[in-house]
Amino acid sequence: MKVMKTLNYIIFLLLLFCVPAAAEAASSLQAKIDAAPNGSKIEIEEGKYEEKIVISKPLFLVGTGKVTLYSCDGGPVITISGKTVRLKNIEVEHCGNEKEDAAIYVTGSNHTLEELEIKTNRFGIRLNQADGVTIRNSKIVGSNTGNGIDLWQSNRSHIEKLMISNMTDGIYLEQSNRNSLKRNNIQHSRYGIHLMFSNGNVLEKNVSRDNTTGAMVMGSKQNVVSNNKFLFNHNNVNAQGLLIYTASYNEIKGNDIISNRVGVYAERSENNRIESNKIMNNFIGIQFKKANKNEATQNTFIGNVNDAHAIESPHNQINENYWDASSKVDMNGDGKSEISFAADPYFQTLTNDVPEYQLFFHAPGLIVIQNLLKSPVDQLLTDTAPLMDMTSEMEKEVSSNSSFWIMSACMIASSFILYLLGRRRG
Amino acid sequence: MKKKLFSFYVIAVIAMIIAACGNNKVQPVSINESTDTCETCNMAVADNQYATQILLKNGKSLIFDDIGCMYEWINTHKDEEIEAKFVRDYNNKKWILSDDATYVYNQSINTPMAYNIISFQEKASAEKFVAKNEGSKLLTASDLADHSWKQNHDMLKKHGEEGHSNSEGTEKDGHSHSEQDHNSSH
Repeated sequence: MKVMKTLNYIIFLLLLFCVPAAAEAASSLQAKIDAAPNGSKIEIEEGKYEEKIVISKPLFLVGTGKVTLYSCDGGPVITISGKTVRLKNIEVEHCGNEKEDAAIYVTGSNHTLEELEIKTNRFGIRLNQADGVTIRNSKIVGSNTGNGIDLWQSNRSHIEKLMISNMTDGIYLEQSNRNSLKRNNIQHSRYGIHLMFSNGNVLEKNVSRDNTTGAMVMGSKQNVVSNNKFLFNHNNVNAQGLLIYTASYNEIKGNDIISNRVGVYAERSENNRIESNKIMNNFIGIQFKKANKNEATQNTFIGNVNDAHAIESPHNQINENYWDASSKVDMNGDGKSEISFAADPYFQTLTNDVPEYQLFFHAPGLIVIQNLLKSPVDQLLTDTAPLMDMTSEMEKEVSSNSSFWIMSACMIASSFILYLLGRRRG
Repeated sequence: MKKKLFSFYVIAVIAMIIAACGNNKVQPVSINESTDTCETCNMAVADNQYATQILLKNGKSLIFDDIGCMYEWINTHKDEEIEAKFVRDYNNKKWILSDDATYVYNQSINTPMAYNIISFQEKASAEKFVAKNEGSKLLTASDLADHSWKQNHDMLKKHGEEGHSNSEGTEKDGHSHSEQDHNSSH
């Protein structure tokens, strides 16, 4: 009996001392942050920490080895505010289910987040009225129920070299200006990059593939979309490489827009410049709807099932593009065809009202009707001087395509073998 | 004989009920998030409280991601014959005829296309929302016809130009962007 009593006593003591000690260990990261002076560096030891932390003063948190912070409670795993907070080499796992929740939540200015690996159930990193934040060399994987990077009224951020997959929108900007998005790779999400009412942003050298839409520019102005690759955005019935809606004064330049359902779709947008893009192997190369006063020049259209569709978009300046499917005649040797290239709105108008008519795409009867009921020339989207040849730069790129050469080599080899076999039998 | 007559009546009544059901009013279609896009703005429509729809007399249904997009369509397609317009209750997402709903306009309600209007089945719950959220304005279905349908970013731009406010100072201050905003942006 006495032994039991002592044992109980020991257990009681153990509980008394050990449990608070364990709890203290769990909250130690936050305690360290609270105790650290402004501007100091905190090295986090390797390990897995179930903890949510809040940083509101200038600090540099760096993981040594594999450091994982995780939390399945509501609210962000890391909350950052104030100025010049820096995070480096940390894995963040957010497994909460609250709507609109994020793995990392950022306000304030001039923070740097780098070499992070984020797994999230909702949003990856949310910037709310933040300024001058840099996010780079990181990876974000979600479960298609929130945006990878989400900017709300946040300006002058640098978002670079991120690998983002399985999000709603890879990078989403709303009312956010003068941000730069460079060399990011976004896959298997709804929209790769989505701009809403955001101006003066630069999207450069990003790759957006296998999404519903590569990039969407809506209600936004003066953005530069250059040298990006929008590829294989074709699995959804509404897929496209680049969508421009009620957007103006944007520059779309030097992008590779390849193997999408629709390459470039523009609706109710004005004064945009679409220049030197390679628009290849899409179902529809470029599609305009009620889009006027735009300029499209020096683009190369190759291997699209249909190069261009347009409804109510006759007032655009379209010239000197290369359309591989158009008939071309150059009388004066200036490298431009005398026959203008026009996109007939007939099929699109038809399928707009009754989508089922898409079954008749390229049906001989339909083409006859289309030619009989030719739309008036002044209502068409027309390239007045199509190029006779691709620009030399483009030609080099297209012909240096390695898969093309491998394919040709295989075909030559196989025909040679067949020839030899045939000869032997004969 | 009587029994026969009775069963005839029963059958007749049942037939009438069934016929009445068959003649039921038009039903809203449900939303398929992976394929439905907004008829006006082309964005994918989430199956949430902001979605609206129009059923045309020719049987076609049009889905919108924001009530503002629906009115944009109505105002630019005046000769289309509309059978019914549906909006959803903000609290339980139930489809309701747009004429029966009560609306609330509040600049800080973040709707998909920034038109900032939400709909309620019961006037009482709309009033409750108004009482809870500062800057709200109660609207009836007929008020919507005269509403200006200005997207919120236009107003914000004005603020920005006047006072150059990037991290604070806009009226909006993120009231409803998420719960988080309440805690950390104030």
